[in-house]
Amino acid sequence: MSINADSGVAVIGAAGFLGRELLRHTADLGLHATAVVRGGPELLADIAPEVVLTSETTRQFDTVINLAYPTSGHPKAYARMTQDIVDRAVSMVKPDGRIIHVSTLAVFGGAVDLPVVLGPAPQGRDTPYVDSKRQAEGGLVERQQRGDFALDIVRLGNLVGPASPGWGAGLVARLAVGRPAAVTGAPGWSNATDVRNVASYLTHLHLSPPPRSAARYHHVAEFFQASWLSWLEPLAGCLGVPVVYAPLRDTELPFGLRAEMGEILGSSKPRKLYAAAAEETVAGSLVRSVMGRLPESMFRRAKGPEVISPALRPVSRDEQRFLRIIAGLHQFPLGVEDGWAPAVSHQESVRDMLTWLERN
Amino acid sequence: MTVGIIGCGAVTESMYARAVLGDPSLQVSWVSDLDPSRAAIVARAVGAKACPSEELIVQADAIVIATPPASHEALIGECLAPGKTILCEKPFVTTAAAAEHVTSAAAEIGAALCVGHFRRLYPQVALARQIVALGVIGAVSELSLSEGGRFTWVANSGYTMNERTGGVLWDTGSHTLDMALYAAALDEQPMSGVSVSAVERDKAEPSHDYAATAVFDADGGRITCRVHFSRTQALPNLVRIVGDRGSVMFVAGFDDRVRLSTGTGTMVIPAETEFTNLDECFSRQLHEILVDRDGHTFAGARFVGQVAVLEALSDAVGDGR
Repeated sequence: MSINADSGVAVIGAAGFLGRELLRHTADLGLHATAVVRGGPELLADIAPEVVLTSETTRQFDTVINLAYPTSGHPKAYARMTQDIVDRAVSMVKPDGRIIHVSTLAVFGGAVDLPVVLGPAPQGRDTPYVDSKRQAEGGLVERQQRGDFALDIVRLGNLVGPASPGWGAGLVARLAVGRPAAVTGAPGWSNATDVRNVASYLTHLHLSPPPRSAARYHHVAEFFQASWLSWLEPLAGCLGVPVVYAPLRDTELPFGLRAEMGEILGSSKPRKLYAAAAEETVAGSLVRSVMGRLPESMFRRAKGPEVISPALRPVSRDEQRFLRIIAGLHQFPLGVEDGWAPAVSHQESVRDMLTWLERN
Repeated sequence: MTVGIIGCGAVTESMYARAVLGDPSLQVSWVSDLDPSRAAIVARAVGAKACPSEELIVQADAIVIATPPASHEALIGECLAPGKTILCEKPFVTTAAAAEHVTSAAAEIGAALCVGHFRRLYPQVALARQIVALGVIGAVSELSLSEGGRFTWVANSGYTMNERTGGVLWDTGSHTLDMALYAAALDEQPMSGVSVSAVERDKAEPSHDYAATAVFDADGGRITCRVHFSRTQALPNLVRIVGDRGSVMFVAGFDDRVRLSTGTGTMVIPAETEFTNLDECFSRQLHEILVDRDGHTFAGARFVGQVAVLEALSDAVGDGR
């Protein structure tokens, strides 16, 4: 396939944070990128030369950059939605064309718990988000092996930059109201990538020769060794608040079916039922008469401890997952093509996030 | 009290239908929409009868107006009758004059007119109001608010993209501004002398990114209100109320804590609350207005000042881009 800077580029899922930055970047370079969105085309009118609705376009493009993934609806529908996204991307690429699929470091576990390889993602069950990301990668690889298009899979680190919804506005909200934003005793590697560097890399790939046969993998996290504190402390300073730390134990998730089911079913253990029933009238009277007949040692075992230490009470699952990411126990090293270097430095990224906060 | 809903668009389908189905004491008897097929969908969902609005207005004791904002003033006028309860979706109406007119008319005729700003029940908003009311931060002089993120709400009528009062300022900004005014206890104060400066918007209304500074007189003082709302970029999503002795800060989304800062330090105060999510606040609002008939928190007269500020922000010239 010949490289043509003006060859048709479609950006699926262009309405989000990365999509908008990518459209701005390609426009600055004089490239014509068509934004493909589910709705609200008016919201891209100022930055996209062309916006089409997913439901209405039948065009094909030389390069399809897919940013889309399930973000709404019930998680049980994510598998179908992911398949639809894969099918759409494949249907939109011309024969001998190219798909650049944007994925995430989370295919190695939300906190990069699994060994990182510049190759196929590990198998296994995980959260709906991770499952859908792994499914998309696997689905595209399978279609590429059967089809006639080139495939790049670009896994991103945690996306920072001015107006980052998750790692900008999300962190600011936590800092503002004193929710833990760091973990004591943890290295706190951010595995971060600035959205502007991602847009630059995706455009670099589009303008570079495509992979010849098998899918090619890329890992974009140019700030993987930077600490979260390098962002958090300036942001907290701007807000006039301290950074609150969570203990390392709050990052400890149960792993595996047995451990997870054990936690879920733990709420229905006899000791909890006794505690709930003992003060009731009819049920309580029955429970008390039954328990009263037990030998003391058996009674104490059934009733359980009088006091559960607050330190052992787990935080919510969502909170645990966030804290595991912020603890940054594992790194997601950079793995990019030669000839590209990030234009935005770590210092600039932090400074620009701070400017965004100061202005708002 | 029999209830009818005029407007079977996205907010009715997603919010009102859910609230009705989750509260046995909330019974909707009639629904109406310019599109009969939409009315039929909602009617089936909530077990109501789809009918023309004229029939609904006559039959229902309480009427919910869930139509685009440009139609609110006229519809409120049609619904006003002695003993009726009217719950008008936000944004209330589109001019301060209209707000004064409909609230006066409602009072005169003996109808209860309420506005659906359910975020007043958010735990952090209620707590912030209590803190401000205690005088801890002193006299309020400044409000700073931002709310922005990717816009995914699909209004069936398309008004959020096509109508002047469908832009981010009226659609999202009315929510955030009301949180700030309510928490600062400025909603019960007459407001005057609203002026606007430093306007930056991406386009003429309906805009999708709007920032400005409004200044107005209320509660015996001059209040400076800095706003930024966006459908195209994430913003800090914080509300900050500054007084002469300190400030309170909370997030614009559903939450249960407030940061209080004074000259001597800062602390986070958790709110004691029964609510676990925003849907419960929405449902409670409906219950208070339509079942308990206690809608004083949402009484129309308390939103006149808010509309005046929104109108001034909307009419202000300048785009800065």
